[in-house]
Amino acid sequence: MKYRTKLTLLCVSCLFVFIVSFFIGRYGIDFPTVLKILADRFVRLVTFGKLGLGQTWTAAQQSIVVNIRLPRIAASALVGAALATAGAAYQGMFRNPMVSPDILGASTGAGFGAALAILLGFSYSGITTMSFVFGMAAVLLAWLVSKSSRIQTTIAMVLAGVMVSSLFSAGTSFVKLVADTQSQLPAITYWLMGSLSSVKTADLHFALIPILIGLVPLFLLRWRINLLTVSEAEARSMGIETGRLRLLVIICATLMTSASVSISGMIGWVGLAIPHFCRLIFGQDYRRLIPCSALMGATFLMLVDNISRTITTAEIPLGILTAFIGAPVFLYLIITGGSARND
Amino acid sequence: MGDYKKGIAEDLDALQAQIGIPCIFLEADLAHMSEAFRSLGTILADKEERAEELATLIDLTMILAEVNNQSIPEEQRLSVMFTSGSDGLGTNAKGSSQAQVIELVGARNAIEVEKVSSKGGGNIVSLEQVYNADPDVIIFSPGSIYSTVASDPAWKELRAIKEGRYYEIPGDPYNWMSNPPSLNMVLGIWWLGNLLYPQYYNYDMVSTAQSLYEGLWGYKLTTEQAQALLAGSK
Repeated sequence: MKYRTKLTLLCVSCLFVFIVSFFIGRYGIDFPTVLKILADRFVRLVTFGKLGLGQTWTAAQQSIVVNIRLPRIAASALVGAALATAGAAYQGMFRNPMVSPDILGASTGAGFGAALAILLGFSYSGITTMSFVFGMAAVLLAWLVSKSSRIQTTIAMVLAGVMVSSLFSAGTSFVKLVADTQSQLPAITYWLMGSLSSVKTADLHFALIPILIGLVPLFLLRWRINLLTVSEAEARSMGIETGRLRLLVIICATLMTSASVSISGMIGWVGLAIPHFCRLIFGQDYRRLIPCSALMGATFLMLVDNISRTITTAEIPLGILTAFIGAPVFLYLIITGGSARND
Repeated sequence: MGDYKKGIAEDLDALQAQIGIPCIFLEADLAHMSEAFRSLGTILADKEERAEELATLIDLTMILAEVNNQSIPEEQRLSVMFTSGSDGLGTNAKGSSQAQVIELVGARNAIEVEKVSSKGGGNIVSLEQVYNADPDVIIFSPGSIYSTVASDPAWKELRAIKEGRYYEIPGDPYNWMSNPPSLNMVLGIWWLGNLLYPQYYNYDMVSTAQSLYEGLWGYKLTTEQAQALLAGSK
């Protein structure tokens, strides 16, 4: 199959999953009604609210489709795309296939921020903001440490990332220790397992901007990421200064990771497994890998979230499901030797 | 003290052997709470009188709930969703030790899940599940999204929200409904009963709260403080 055919197929399946997701949920709404509500929204969107279909459905049905399912589906697509792209970019930059988006401490930092916010009794939006800020701060710290180190940049960065991560996870453990076991501790634990159950339209607006700011430059500069996959000395011999490019990739990937984690909690495996899966299908070239990772990450997380919100009466945290699905796939890749090496 | 768990006797025997201090277990859900306080009174020196006071207060509360529970006709029984957590989606579902008060006062728990969690924080449900259950009344934890649900597009179409039948649980010294599930649940029975069925639980909650605080905690609550506590109960 040619690249274009494969890409088109991926686009179509992403769109298909996106639309099908609207029909899935615990609250039973029949097929034509959902279709009518979606059509009505679409018409209103194109005509700037001047035209709409006659309302034959109840306000509750409309609220479920527009205010509960739509933000959730959009958020899972956005978070999936962001995590997979960030993972792919980091893997290229560190020339290491085992790297995931939390390598520089973005996720653990964001997790600590959220735990601290829950401990201090912040409101729901306060928790999101704190988590975002701490995710960014963690990476900034790791970057500053690696900057002042004399070891080779990428190694210093990985080491600093590991150090900052363990610092923040120790912080999180401490917060859990002192948190009220009746209300705060379960909230923190649940948050750390990752869930989109409380995502609202406002959260979507909050996360959309940083994710786009991260995604667009990576998309535009995706051919340049190929340059980072060769060794630093080699790149320099070709007359390329990788320092600034590397910093840009870090900023973009961090923005995306922190923003996703701040609305969804910790969702593992997407950023690690999806880029590998894409490499199997589309090869090593980052010109293809970036858009494909984004699409496949979005599709994957929408599918998993559909399971999370419908399979039982209570929600199953997303992080658990992605690990259950991601880990076996990854094992399979390792055993069959299909996971392509980066160098 | 707390919920009975299998193996607790062996665990405590081992602990007793280790530390050399006698260890006992008192089951203290609402049904056994007065008994637990009476046992404490006999065990602890000079506390018999105080324990008897508390036990009597609990017994009185339980009798009040039982009598009213039996007189409320089936068609008047309301379904109540008891949320916890700041986003309002943690739910103390039917059968959890946090939600005992709901059924004691004569209401139904609106949320039933397959695997009930009795840890604080309860089971996380999706909003769609709440629309499905269509509760008559929703009670929110202190410090949650209670104040914003009326304008929140995802919540405001719920029947309980539209009809204004949603309330904030008073949170001092602890959440009156549970969190932790202990003596403060006595307050919860008086509060929730009066809130849902004022024709049966017929008393003024402000002055009742004042006398309960005096009886339970030995604290003199002023009228203003009581009113502030009950601000979310309208």
